[in-house]
Amino acid sequence: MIRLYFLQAFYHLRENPIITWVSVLGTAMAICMIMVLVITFQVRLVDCEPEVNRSRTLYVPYMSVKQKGGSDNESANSSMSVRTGRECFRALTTPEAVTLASGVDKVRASVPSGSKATADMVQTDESFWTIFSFRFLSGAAFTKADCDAGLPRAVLDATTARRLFGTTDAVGRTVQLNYVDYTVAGVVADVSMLATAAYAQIWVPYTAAGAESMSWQNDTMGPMHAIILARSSADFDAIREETELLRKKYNDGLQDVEVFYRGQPDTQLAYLYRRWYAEPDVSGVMLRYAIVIIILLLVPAINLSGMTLSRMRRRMAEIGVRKAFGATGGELMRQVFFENLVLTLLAGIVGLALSYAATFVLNGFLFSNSMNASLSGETALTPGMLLSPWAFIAAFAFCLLMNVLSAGIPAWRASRMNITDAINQR
Amino acid sequence: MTKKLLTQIKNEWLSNLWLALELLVVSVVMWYVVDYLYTRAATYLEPRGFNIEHCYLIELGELTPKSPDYTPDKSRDDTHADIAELVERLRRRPEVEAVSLSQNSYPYNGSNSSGEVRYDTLQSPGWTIRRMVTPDFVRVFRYQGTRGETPEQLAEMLERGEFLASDNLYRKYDRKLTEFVGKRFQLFGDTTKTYQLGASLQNVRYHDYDQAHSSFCFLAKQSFYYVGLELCVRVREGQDNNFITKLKEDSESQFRIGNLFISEIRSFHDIRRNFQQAWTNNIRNYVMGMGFLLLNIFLGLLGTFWFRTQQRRSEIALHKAHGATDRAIFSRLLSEGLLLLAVVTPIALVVDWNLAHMELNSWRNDTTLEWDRLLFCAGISFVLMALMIAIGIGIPARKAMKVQPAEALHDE
Repeated sequence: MIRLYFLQAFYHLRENPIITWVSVLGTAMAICMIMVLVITFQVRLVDCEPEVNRSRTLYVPYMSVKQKGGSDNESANSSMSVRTGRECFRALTTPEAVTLASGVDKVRASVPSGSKATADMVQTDESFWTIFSFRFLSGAAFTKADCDAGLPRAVLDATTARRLFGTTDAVGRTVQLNYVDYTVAGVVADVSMLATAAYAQIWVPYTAAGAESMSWQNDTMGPMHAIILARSSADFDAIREETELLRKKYNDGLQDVEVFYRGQPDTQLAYLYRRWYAEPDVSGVMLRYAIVIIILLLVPAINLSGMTLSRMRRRMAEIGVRKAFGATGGELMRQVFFENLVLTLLAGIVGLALSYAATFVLNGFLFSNSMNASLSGETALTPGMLLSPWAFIAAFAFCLLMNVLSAGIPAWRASRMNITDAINQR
Repeated sequence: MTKKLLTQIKNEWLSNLWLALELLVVSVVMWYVVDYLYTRAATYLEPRGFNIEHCYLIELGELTPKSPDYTPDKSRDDTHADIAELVERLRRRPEVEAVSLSQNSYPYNGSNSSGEVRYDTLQSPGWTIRRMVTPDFVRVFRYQGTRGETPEQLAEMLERGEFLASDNLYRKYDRKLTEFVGKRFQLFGDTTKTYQLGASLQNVRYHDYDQAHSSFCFLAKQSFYYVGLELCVRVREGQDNNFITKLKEDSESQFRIGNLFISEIRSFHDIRRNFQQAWTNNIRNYVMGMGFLLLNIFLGLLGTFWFRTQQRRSEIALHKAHGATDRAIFSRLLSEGLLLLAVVTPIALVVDWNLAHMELNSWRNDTTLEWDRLLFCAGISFVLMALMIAIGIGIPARKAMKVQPAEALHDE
């Protein structure tokens, strides 16, 4: 039976090429637009190298300081100092690891009497390398001992290493960062700017660079943010509770001011949508996504629905005959659904292919944003980011939804048609 | 003619209902998108009050004690002198027109400081941006006075210790600042000292998508130099090819003064692009959405009318046999589509008005509902949709025109 529907569906598709093209194109475009949305979203949300632990990571990019007992609105807002990071986050015991990392800064990198370059630098510590999974081309990350001793060690990405030394095999050589000598400890493969938290081109221990001396607001604020790796996402609440305890303890030690985090630590999703220090309106963002997707589905669905109805009208006699020979309403309904599904799936595959093509071709157009516009890296995409099962499940689900929307009313009408009316084409 | 057309529309009411529904949904969404794009474009085109052509930002770095080149025991005054020397050397370069130092002041700058400008009981708004600058700042960014004061004249006023402020500062009292020129004001919340207003400035916008009437600022002289200040340069017209590369080449030999070094040079074109990426991205999304909707209307009408012209083949033939011209056939089909659009437009307008009344669309001039804007944007979306309808119907209609009556009516 299914085979028969299938053949029939193809016959109808071939019979009316213009209509078929119009329907396939309309549906494919809708699926393509929706999937571009889904892909750009998942690239930033699902686990992929080097941010392999996004689903169990919490972020504290900002903090606020106010007078003790003052209003939350009268606060200074910025990132945290090394001291705040150490006492409030590195001291946590529930998580598997906690790292402090500075914001990305431009640095002048040069080789003594050799080439020089401007690169994006992050100051961090040894835990950074356990939370994120980098692919080392040579050497290794700096260690806890390096960090504790404040040794000038640097990890470079492949592009920077090649620009400075002409090779990625640069371990042990000296690089000057803002006129200070560092020894190259390792070279990693380039990191895409889409890995917002892990991205940089040069990483050095903050104990060796200037992060500790950069602080303000009674040494509470500075250039750092904290990244917390939980053993599993089930621990998030426990970590938040412990964070709150440490915060209170820290505030007790401060004279006139107190620190607070405005809803942080953030999950990956909240972290993506936090604009500056303000609490992210995640549900508002999701609502907007939903409205956009509904419009993207609804408009083509009305289109297709109208066309399927017209097609049904031409086949009224056929439906009438089938009914006269005993086909039930349910059977006819299934047939219309199935025939339409063949079309939708065909369009879905085209749409999905188009959306992958679009993400590659329009990469800069889709992924550049205010955060990465001033950085020098690339928003490179890897198969690991794109080919997640979630994308395919989503594409299929949207196809089904589209099918229900566009074939629902025609199928219902076909099943309810009166035999004599249908045969007489009334 | 119209009556016949209406009868025809009624006869095919079912498929027309679908078309009408689609047109209604798209009309509303299109209006929303056009409204968004219109407000952004209108704001973008307002006068900016400054000019960033040929302007560059030079970022300074300072050596840390860990560097072998570090000179210890530099006092604050030494650093001040080093920066002054660096500025002087820049100024002496032949291609450089003006050099300025400032604090949270350059355009397209995410950081701001704010301050109060008080005259008697008149107070400036809370988000008045305080720009502490050296006098040449107004020459670098070409600020203009409301009475036609040139950047050079404005710079002299700053040099004399007078301050400058945007003309809209007392907008809430319905007074222009121009009438206060020469009066003495209290600044920075300091009641012990007064400053003379040198000139009222043509409104300086915060960025390209912020309206002039809501960007407030005032400028006062910055006398002490430290490393955190912004160093901005205007290059003479026609001489900024390779400015960045040339300066970077000389930076080692000429601009390593004391513990200072030049860490990065960026053109203001880049700074502007980076700063406004979020807005540009939004506009991009809306334009893509608009294209998608228009294409859908095109496809929908193409499909539906393809069916129709096929179904009405004999009817069209009969029409032709009775003497209708090709043009008449074409325009009849076209009017059918346009009439549908005309029917849904009033309903769409009611929905648009309600959305605007609920403040769900874009803000401009402190409101979401302006009659002229509503009608203008609805008009634009009407025209765009009519165009798509014309193309969508045009293709099958041209085919219908070519129907041969004798062939089509063969069976009758």
